[in-house]
Amino acid sequence: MVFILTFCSVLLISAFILTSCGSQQDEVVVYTAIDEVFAEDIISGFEESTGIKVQVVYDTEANKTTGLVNRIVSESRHPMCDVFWNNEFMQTIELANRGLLEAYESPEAATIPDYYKASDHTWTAVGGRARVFLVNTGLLDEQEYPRGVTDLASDRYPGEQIAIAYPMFGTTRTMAAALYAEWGEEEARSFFQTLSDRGVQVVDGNSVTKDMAVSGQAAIGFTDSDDAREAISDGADVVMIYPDQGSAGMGTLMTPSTVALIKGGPDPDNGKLFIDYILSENTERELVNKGFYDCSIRDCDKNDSIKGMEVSLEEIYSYMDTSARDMEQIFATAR
Amino acid sequence: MQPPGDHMHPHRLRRLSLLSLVYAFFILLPVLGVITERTHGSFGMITPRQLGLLVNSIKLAFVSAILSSFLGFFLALRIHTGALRNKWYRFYFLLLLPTPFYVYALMWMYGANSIIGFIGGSLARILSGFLPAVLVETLAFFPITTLFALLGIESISREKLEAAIILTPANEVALRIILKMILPYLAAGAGFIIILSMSDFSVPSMFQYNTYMLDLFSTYSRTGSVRTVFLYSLYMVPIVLIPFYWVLNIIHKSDTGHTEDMIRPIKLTGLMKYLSYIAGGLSIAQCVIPFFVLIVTTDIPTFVEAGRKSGAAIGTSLAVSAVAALIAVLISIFPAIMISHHAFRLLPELFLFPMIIPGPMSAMGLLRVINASPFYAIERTMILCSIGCAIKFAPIALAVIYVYHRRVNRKGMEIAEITASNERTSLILEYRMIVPAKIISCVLVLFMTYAEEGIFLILMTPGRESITVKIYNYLHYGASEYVSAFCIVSILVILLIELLVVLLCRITLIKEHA
Repeated sequence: MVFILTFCSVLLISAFILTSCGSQQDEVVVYTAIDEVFAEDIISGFEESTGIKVQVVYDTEANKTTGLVNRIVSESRHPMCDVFWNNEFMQTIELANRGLLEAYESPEAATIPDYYKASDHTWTAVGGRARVFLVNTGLLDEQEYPRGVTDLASDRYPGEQIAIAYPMFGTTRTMAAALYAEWGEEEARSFFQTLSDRGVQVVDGNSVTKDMAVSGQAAIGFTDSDDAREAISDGADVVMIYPDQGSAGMGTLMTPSTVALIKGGPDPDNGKLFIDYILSENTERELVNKGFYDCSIRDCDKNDSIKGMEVSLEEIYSYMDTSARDMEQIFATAR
Repeated sequence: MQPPGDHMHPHRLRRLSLLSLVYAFFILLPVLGVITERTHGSFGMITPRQLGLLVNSIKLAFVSAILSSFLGFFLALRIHTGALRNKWYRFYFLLLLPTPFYVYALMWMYGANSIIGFIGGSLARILSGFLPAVLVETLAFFPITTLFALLGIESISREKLEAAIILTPANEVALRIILKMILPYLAAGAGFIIILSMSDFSVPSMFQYNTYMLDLFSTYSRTGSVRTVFLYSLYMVPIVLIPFYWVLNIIHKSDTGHTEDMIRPIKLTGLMKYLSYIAGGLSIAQCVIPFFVLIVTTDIPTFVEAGRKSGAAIGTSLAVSAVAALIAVLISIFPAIMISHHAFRLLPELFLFPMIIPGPMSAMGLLRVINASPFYAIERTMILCSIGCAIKFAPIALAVIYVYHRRVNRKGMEIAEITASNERTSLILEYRMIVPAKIISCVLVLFMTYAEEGIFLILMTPGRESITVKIYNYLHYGASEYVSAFCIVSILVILLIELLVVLLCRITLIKEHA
């Protein structure tokens, strides 16, 4: 009994200490799937400029976005979060469809094309990260570099020379849905089936894809540009190639971040200030300079910019379920 | 066949039953949250593809468990018969247990990359598939079976083996007597490895070995339906419960008893000796090689910077882990004693059920219940995260206490019952006899919680971050030098805590002797 009493006392004290790590008066709660290394500087900047403390929850690669979205859904009776700052758009649209987002038309979004905004103003997109090829220069000569996504399914490269992340998760999943939207179901399914049949290496996340291209385990890694830039800045023998460029190319998938106000969040006013800060051109340019975004979506119609796929975000979203189910069947087969 | 309650006093039985309800309440909370979810996900019969993945999971889990038990037995023998016998640092093999399995596996991959890259060869073929996955899982998990085996060997009564050690060759003593006597411990350790392996997808997926858990997470990612994933995870329940049914049977039928005098060291010969050396070598390798890889993949300035960056996250992880360990032990003591006294008519294996449910799903279920209750404000505190981790790892505490209780000195317990002035005093004496089990289970749950990631993601207070989440975030960014530095800082902090605990124990012992 002494043990139990001591234990209960310790527990109560611990609970008290833990629970007293309390909330501050002037704060905003942000759930973000943006990589911590990029987000933390932006958040610090917001805190410095407004004096509002940001209580942030980050997500991780394997769980990417789904965990946070489900957390927001689970908390819907008593929302704990003010702002959802997502690294993609599909799950944000999902939240909007569930009626968990509050409409907010930020003044900072005036310069963002309508194409990147929800018609009901429940979310706004900003920045853009491209899907790229990361090519190991020790394994391929310049004339052998892939130029388009379809090259991955051709006989030019042995399957084991190519690495992609599981297309059931993260931005690779979005890429799959985008190809479904661009090519149609049958052609896209056939493309991924060919990749699987050819023994392409499927790994747990874009960072592993990058590591494989860097180490030479694969000659080509199909990954996000932020991962590719990291490899280049580390001095690895790799080059980054934007696929399907030029007038004849379909363009590469550009994945914008999205930011949205949670309905019924504890502090909507601070939430709106945070959204304004994220959508501002300065913040977007800062993230472009840091290498998180490839380009500003405010520049997307300029000629010298990276060519993106010409499919709407809603259309890509509409293929999410179909493509994800197919990807499961094609890639999660027993080996 | 022993009667229910093992002749337990009805009053004590009633009290224990009521206290055991707390455990049941905690483990049912997430289930309640999950099954009440309004979802668009669907659930049906397992498909042939899923069945194939389930077979993959079973194959990986059972082979890892068998190999880990084999190595664990020989390493425990090596430690018990070698220079480390009775030394506090004989538990060195647990050093990397608080490292997330995925990061641990990554270290092996980095190491293998460097070696094979140096030699030359097709890495893709060598580093993929069943074999590397099972090797890395075995290296990651065999410290657990070693711990169980060592505790088993150290609890064998000297008087029972004295004659055998003198009259029988050492190898036969080890295989025919010691192995038989510690089988319940080894089986319990193997059972946990089966659960840990089946509930993880990150390590096999790194080696492109697809498992059922990967399919569950894929379904989760696609449908966002926690209930669907929860229901599909129930297919794993019988696979895990059947071995545990066997384990518990072994423990129930095993000879109980314990003395303070440990058996004398035995001198292994021939193949057995070499196997124990191999196990010893591997135990050093499983600590040193990943640690070496961590050191060479970072540098001093990054290490210093990582120390500065990770301070708060390590503090958060430790605080949550400590409270989770305390909760897990507290709620597990009573059902463990009840099971040990044969007081449950129902399948006691069901108490292990929370470990089979994927951590994020269990956390999501708990979050739903709490959010819909009047206590939703605790979401702003770290205590909710501790409760989530305690629910997940309480079965470990329960099993350790149960196994220890079965092996506790029965004579002492009987004397305590006779000499105790009343029921209450007898109960206190019984609880005191299992103090080592409480400490061991507390440490195990602390380590497992410290390495946990999924539950932290779902239940962590906004503004707080655990060290594992930080590591995973930097891992995604590709900052491997930071990941290595965070891991080193984390391991050093754990080591420091272990040293402090040992120091405190020694000071207490010295005071008691004085």
